[in-house]
Parts: sequence; structure tokens; C-alpha cells
Amino acid sequence: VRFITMALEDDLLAEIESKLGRALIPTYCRKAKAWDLFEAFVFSIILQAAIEEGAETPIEFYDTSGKVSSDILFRTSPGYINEIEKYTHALLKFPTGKKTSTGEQKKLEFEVHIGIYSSGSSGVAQECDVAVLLKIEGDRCRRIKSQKAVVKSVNILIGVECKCYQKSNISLGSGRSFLGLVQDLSSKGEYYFVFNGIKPSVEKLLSHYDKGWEHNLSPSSKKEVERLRYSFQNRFKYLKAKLLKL
Amino acid sequence: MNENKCQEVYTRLESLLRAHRLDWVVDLVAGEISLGKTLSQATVSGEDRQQVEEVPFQLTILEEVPDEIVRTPRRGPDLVVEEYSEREKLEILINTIIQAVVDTTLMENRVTTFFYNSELFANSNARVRFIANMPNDQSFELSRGDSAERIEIAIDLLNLLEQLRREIYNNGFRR
Repeated sequence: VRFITMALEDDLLAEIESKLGRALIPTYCRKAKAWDLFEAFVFSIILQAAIEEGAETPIEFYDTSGKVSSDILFRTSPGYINEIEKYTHALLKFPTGKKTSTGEQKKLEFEVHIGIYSSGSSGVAQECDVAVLLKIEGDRCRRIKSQKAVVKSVNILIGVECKCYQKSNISLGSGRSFLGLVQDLSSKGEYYFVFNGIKPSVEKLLSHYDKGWEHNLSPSSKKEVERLRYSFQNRFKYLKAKLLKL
Repeated sequence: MNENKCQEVYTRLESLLRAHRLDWVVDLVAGEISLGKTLSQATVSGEDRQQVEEVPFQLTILEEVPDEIVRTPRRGPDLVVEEYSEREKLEILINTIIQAVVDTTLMENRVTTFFYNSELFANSNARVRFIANMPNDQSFELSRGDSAERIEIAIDLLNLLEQLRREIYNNGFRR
């Protein structure tokens, strides 16, 4: 039995060796790039939740000057919402069923960004990995031309802190940082801490303080992806009802 | 798989990762393992428990501390840190390979499929790029290339790694 088991392990290793190189995408050999991809993955889950909740398609992307962009350009590190580089954000439009005085359909408009700075009660700029905010707040920030604009946290309606490939000690530290971040930012928004893998210490900490989190997030984890998408969708439902002027 | 075999398999996987420039995965796992695992009171053996109980608890009370703050400290569960076994180390390494290689490949496919979906986005010819704004970052673009074969290989790899993970506890006991 021992001989057969050892042979099986060796066979498995040989097969793993033959597949690993071909499964790997060379671009993502670096941790930082996989991290960028993780944020884009969460961004896609938010857009999907919005579409499920009635956001119009096709969705358009806008650059930092407020013009429609032909390409989708994401940041790889945090930046300011009004910076001159042509990073893009998605614009979500939810029909309200009401019409303006000119007969046009009234819509609720939200922007979805990756890696923008926001500030709360302390006045310190904090990075928000993925953020949903009102378009009017985005427009307000972009009108500021002479200085870097920081989004007021009171206008961040959904904020997500993304973490992937973390050691357990750093993860616990990240969980604590997230609590500090949420404490500083407005209580009106809904903030989530999402990560790949499973970290019981972080999950216990965030649950204790009643904060939103999702673990084990990857495309192969259907249950977790669906649960997170549904959380975002539920938030959009709430925002639609709350912001609709009767 | 016995402890020695687990150690041997770990070393072979480690070499394989380094050969594919995935040193950061090896380092990440080594860092995780060096922390050990934290066990609570229930798992502390009877003898150790007795030693812990015999240590007298002392509290230095400072005069300036208000009375309402000075109170009997709460005795929560005792926590001890123990090293991972070779089986557990190998399991951590396999889980991290799944995250770093398989999940990343599936995630790239998922994100590419989503953003290049012409029904969802206005410009069907749009390019999706990640633009660096820091000196040490590098920009990159999501490729529209057919990744069906790579996905198939990634799923095969996932099955192999899961099978290897199951083998860890064959002919042994689960801790």
C-alpha cells in the first residue's frame, strides 16, 4: 500500500509540474498584478449587481474630465478622482419611471471607481479600493481644477476594501485597519471587507463589530460570489428607494 | 502520506514555484508558517494546563488609575502558539498555489469575459488597461485572446492539487 501511495504522489507531482506552467498567465506572476485583477473582479460583481437591479445597459465608461471614454482604464494604485490622467469610471443609470418637465426619463446616476481617495471625519485622505458614489459628487469633485479633490465619505454609498494573498498576521492587521477606516468614514455608507482565502480571526473581528465581509472570493467560489453580488444588489435596491424623489 | 513524504513533496513544489518565478508564493507561505497556529485553552494538554494554573496572577495598581477602571481582570481562554506539522505546511502551500495560479487564471478569464461583453458595454472594441501611476508599477492590458485551453488546464491543475491535498491525510490521521 505504501509503495502504491508513494507512486501516486510522484505521478501527481509530475502532472502538476506539466500543467502549472501552461495554466499560469505570465502577466500575473507578480503579486501586485493579481491584486489589480482582484479589484477589477470585485468591480465587475458590483456592475453585475447593478444590472440585476435594473441599471441600464450598455454601461458607459467616463474619464476624469467627464467625457465618454472609448477604453476602460483602471488605476493600479490609489489616485484622486479629478486627476488629469485619463482613468475611467463606470456610470450606472437607474430609470425612475418618472419624467422631467421636458419629457425625458428621470434617472438615478451612480459612478463606480477603482482606487480613489476619500476622507471622513478626521480629514485624512484614505484609499477606497472600489467605491460607488453619486454622480453629482463626482461632478462636484471634477469641477475642482486647481487642487486634488478628495471624495467626501458621506457620499460614498458602497465602499469595498479588497485584499488578496495576505499572511494571517497581516490580514488581522488589515481587518483592524478596515475597522479604523470605517470608523473614520461616514456611517451612511456601506463598507465591505473582501478577500480570498479564509481567515477566521479577521472574520470573527469583523462580525463582532457587525461589519460586512466576504471571504474565499474567487470565480470558482460560486456561493461567495453570489452572496456578495446579492449584498450589493440589495444595497442598490435600498439606495433606489431612498434617493427617489416622490 | 507520512510527515517525511509531506516534507519531500513540499520541497518539490517549492522548487517548481521558484522555477516559474513564483518566489513570492513560496515566501508568502513561509511567512504564514513561521507564525505557527494559535490554539485556545481547550487544546492545551492537562499537564501544561496545570502549569498555567499555578502561575500566580499579579496586577500592579497605579494610584492615579480611577477605581472604576481597576477591576479583576477577565480570564479569557489561554492561547498558545504551536508549530505547523509537515502535513499542515503542505496543505497551506497547496491552498496558496490554488489561489495564486488557478484562481488568478479563472479570475482573468472572468474579468475579460465580463468587460469584453458587447451587450453590457457601449464600446465593443474597448481595450481594458491597468495604468500605473507609481514609478515601480507596470501597466498591462487584458488580452482578448482565446483562453479556453488555459482555463481547461487550470481546472485540470485544480483537480490535481485537490487530489494531492486529499493524499496528505491518507495513511495518516487528521489533526
